[in-house]
Amino acid sequence: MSDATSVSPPPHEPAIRVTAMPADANAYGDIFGGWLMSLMDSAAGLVAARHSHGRAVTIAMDGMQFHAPVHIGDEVSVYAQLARVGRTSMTIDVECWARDRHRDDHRKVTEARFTFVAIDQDRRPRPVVVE
Amino acid sequence: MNDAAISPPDRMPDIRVTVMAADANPYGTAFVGWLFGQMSLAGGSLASRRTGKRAPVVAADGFKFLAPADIGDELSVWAEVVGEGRTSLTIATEAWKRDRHGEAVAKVAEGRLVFVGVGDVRQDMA
Repeated sequence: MSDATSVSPPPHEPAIRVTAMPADANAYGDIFGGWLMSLMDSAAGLVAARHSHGRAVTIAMDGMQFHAPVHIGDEVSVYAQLARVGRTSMTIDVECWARDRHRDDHRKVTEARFTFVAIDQDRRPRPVVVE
Repeated sequence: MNDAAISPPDRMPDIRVTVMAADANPYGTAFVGWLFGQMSLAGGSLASRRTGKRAPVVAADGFKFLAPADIGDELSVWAEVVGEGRTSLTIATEAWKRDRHGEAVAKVAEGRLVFVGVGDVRQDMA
């Protein structure tokens, strides 16, 4: 993914892109960190389900950093990339970038690492399909 | 907090809510992003109360999602200050579920959040 000093988002397409709305704000009027984390988990979940061709669930999240506030009206793009694949687990790096709706420049607002486990119908871990 | 605990903390929870269908993931259990949101709200409530200021979350780490919560479960979140810096508070949170039709409880998730107290003009806490 991009490093902490990056000034432009990853070159691949975002897993999710959405506009931050008033319903997503916290008590102070900035966008709620929990909402951002939800988007990040959704994005990672899409990558995990797609890669493992089945149900995959979040078992851990580490290294979450909130770099800058996000404001209502910002365009939020979430980039998710498979970082490591184990026998039944997948590690996925996720970052969020925000763009003021009236401007062209982007800023990195969050990053984190998610661990997913592929599970079967009985919720037991199953081997990840290797492509 | 109590890692190996088989029962939740013996004090009032910071948040208690019912898991609703709107909070579910495509597989029908509580969406982890929603769970994290509840844990973040509980931690933020304690951070704001303790600092008397705006207290945005700046980091989160060591989150483990231990068991799925089902729609209808009662979810309770406990938050506790475990570290205090000059301007920051580290808060450990844990979430527990209770089956709505019984007394069975289980820990659903745990993790640490870091909040920074900031003034109205978004300066660091004095």
